[in-house]
Amino acid sequence: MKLVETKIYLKFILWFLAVALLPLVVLLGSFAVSDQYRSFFQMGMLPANIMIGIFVSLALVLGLSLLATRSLSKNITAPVQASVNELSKVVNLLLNSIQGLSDISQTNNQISQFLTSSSQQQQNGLKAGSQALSKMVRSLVEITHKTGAANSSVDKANKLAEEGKAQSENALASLAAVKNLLTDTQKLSQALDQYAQQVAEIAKRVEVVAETTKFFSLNMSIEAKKASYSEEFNGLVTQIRDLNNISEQAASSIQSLAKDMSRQIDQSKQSAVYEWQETNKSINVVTQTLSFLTKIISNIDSIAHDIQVINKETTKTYEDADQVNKVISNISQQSKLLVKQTDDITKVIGEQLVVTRSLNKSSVALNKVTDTLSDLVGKN
Amino acid sequence: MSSKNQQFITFKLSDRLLAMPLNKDSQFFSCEHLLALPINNKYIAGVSYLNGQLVTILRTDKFFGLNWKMPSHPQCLLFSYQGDFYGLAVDQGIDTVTVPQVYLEKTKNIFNKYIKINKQKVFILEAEQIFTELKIYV
Repeated sequence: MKLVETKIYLKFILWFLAVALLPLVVLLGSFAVSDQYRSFFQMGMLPANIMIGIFVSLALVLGLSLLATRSLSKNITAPVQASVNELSKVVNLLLNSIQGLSDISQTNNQISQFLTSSSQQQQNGLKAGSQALSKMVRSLVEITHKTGAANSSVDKANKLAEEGKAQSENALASLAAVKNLLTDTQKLSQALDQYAQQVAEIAKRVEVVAETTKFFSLNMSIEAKKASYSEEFNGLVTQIRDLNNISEQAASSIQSLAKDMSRQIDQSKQSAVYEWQETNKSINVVTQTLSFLTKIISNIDSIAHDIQVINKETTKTYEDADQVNKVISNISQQSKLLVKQTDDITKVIGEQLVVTRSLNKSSVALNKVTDTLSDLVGKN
Repeated sequence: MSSKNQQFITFKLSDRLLAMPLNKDSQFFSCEHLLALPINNKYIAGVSYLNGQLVTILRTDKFFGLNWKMPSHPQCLLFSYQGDFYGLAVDQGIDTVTVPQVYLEKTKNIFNKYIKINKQKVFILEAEQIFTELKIYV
């Protein structure tokens, strides 16, 4: 650059000398030739040779000035033009870079916004997870309490089932004894039934005797009337009639007694049969109850065992939930840090945007300067 | 109305008190074996056997049109008529009575004679009327 500046100064000096000296030379030359062309160039009082010399000098000065200006401007504007061109390219590149930087800043902004929202969502999710875990822990604690209570209830139920089983066995023994008793009662009823049948047969025979006696008394009476027998015979007939009445009464009483006995024996037989059937049913029911109680006891045992297993598993799950809670807490802290860093990134991006805007402004100003310089040096 | 002391045998049939004149063969018996006969006569229940004699058992209830179910071994009142023995199926024999007077029921055509026992009318079944009026063997 300094070499170029020196060259320009040298050229300027040479041209200045040329411009200064050449009119003098012309003026002097005009004095020399003025006598020949004096009359052609006669203007007023001034001598013509002076006038001619002035005009020629002025013309030369003007021409030389123009040439000098053009030459110098070329020497000066050429590197400036080149620099301006370079500058324009640089400005364009700068603008592109600024645009790219702006795009990158926007993308970073979007990414940071996404990170921020994602972190917030993550935090919310972790919060919800932590709450759910707390609820789970509370439920597990509740389950532990309930399984403990269920365990004690199962123990009580087991004891009750055992007692019930013992009572049912006693009831079964009692029912078996009652059944035996009823069987004996049935046998007794059968024996009494036979006796009643025998009594009924006797009553029938007595009835037959009474009937026969009745016929006898009637026929005796008829014979007595036929033959008109004595008073003693009539008395005998009367006694026979009395005997007949007594026999009839006895037969009737025995029959009614036999009927009553038979009826009562039937009733007691029916009630014995009914009681025997009911006792049998009760024995069946008690036997079924015993089997159910045995099943209940075995089921209660398995339930108690399952409850213990559930209790152990619940305790283990509680411990696991505690660890998960700690992990969630760590993750939550990490997400908070991430949010902070995202905020910092957002701030940096903001500053980046500010810088980009200022760069943009600078490039616009540079562009204006370049345009002005271009206007000054003229576009090639 | 006859006013001679007469002897009658009283019996019950379907809650009705009836009487029959005392016969030399009159007696009550229980008809254990009643043999039905292949004849179409509503008055004859069958035959039985008593003391070596065949006895024709008569449906006394049919004489009066009574609704009476005869038992399988009915009580019968034995009487004889024209050398044959017959038995009136009855519910129950009551007694033998001697009455001074026999009355006539004018409103009845058959079995219209009656006696009074405890102020109650007891109609009389006469053997003659049984076989002539009812025409059992026609």
